Amino acid sequence: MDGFVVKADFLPRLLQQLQENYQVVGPVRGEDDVCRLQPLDEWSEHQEFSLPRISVKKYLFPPNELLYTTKNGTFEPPPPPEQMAVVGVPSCDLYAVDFLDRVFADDPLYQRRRSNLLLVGITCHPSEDCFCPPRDTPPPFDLFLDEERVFSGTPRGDELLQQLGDRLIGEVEIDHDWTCEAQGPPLPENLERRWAANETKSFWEEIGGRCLGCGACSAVCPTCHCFDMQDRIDAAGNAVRHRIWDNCFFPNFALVAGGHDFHPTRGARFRFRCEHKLLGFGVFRGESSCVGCGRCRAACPVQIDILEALDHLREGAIP
Amino acid sequence: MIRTRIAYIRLTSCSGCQLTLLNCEEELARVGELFEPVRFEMLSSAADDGGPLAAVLVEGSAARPEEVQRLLDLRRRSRWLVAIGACALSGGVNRLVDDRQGEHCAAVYAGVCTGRNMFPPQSIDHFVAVDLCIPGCPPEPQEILGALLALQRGTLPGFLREHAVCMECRQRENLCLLLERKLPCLGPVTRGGCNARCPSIGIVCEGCRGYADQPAREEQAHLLRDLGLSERQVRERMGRFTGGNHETP
Ligand code: SF4
Ligand code: SF4
Ligand code: SF4
Ligand code: SF4
Repeated sequence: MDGFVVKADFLPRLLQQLQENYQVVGPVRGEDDVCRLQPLDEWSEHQEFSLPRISVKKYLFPPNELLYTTKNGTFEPPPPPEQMAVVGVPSCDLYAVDFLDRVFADDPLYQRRRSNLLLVGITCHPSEDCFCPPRDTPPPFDLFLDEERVFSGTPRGDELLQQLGDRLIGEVEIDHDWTCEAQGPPLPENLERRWAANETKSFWEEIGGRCLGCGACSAVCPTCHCFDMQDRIDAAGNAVRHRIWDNCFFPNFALVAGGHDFHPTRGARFRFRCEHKLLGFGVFRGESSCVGCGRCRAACPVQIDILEALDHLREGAIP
Repeated sequence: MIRTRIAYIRLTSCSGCQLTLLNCEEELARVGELFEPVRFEMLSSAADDGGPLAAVLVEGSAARPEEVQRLLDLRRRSRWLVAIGACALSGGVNRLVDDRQGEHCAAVYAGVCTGRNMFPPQSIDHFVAVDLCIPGCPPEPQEILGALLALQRGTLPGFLREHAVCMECRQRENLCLLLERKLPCLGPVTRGGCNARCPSIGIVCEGCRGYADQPAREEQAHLLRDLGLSERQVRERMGRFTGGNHETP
């Protein structure tokens, strides 16, 4: 990984350079004051940093993704994805990409999108909702902009810096502290045991009694990755299959044949969400996939807060 | 190619649902190739031959004995019965009628409606088994078309959403009117599938698609009260399209 001090016009020049080969998107604040990742034409649109409503996940794992169309008994795959560059990705969302990269390691459609996606990270200005966990290794990125410095993380990043060589001043040591200044509380010790001890506690049902089951929390999370399949017949008579985002707050999420529901209440659904985020499942058990972006806390219409669950676990007795 | 035999009937309703289908001009020619409208008054003047049907689509609520009779007859003839729109699903806005229905009718329609035997409008599942519900006031055109195309292939559609409007609203990265504008949006308890049509243009969800699966009705009512709505306003707002404006959620 190389680091350089850059000249003042590095950013606009980088954007011009990227526009030659990529569709360039970045955070844009709309008239409604909502920040979204959108196509960027020029640098001025990239206003003062703010977290987009939905992370770069929407390009890697789109909410409604065509998987295939069948025509006269043959399968037609979706067209290949465009080369895309996302500029201004904060480190929490970059760590989330690292997580998704591993979840979808064997998913050809995801991997095809991922290899066509160039990531330009940026030092973030935390909001009051963020609570990043401590980090000692850098997240994945091609380039990372840290005020007047730029770091390259991949050969693609190196190549871009070569092309922009006249905008670099001098090489610097990379002494960046990857732990964000909005550092949240570390996960409680013995989380697994605390979790097991809390299974029957009324805490979850109390929260479930406030929850609307709207699913906003999982919809905005940069590491949620559940999906469902939807088949339709189009007017021409072809069968079309889409992959759409699913959500563990949906009543049919854990419903199985015979009518048994593994999560029959909203309390059980909230507890399940916390388990997946904080403890993980399968090969990811023991790894928190919550990157601390705070989106779920900010999106919940009834102020249900994953930190409340963490506090509860931290304070609970362990056997 | 043998066309799939269908019927479309209207009970007590405004015809908005069938107009939604008939306005799909681009797709109508294809629909005509695939389906034979055995009985579909607004589309075809052909006389009903009384034979068996693959599907009958029913719009409107039942409010008269003749309507129930028609419903029962078509149910017997059809493999599938599809309820279309809020009126058929829950009684819809027809349920806003109060217990002085007869009085109002006499006042408004004077002589025209005398001798008509009416009862408070009901959802059609009170009278017949319903195989598929397409919600909305009116439903989304692509939901009706998609359902028809699935039925034509001999199956019920699997793409109709049963969860809340908020999911699609969040996916569209809208400003949340409930949370950020403190407006009485019904998205959290309303059945999705409309791609958050109203909140996406800054209008609160009025609940026209009826309740989502397992709606958090009490929690939503509580939230609306917190926003300053009176008990009666909460009841009216949540009950408008769900047939429940007489009850407290
Ligand atoms: S659980 Fe919440 S805070 Fe954690 S990554 Fe997901 S949206 Fe962000
Ligand atoms: S189970 Fe829930 S928390 Fe976990 S990824 Fe799926 S939607 Fe997100
Ligand atoms: S955003 Fe809040 S109310 Fe909605 S499902 Fe999540 S926890 Fe429940
Ligand atoms: S605006 Fe309404 S539908 Fe959209 S997320 Fe907010 S509550 Fe849900």
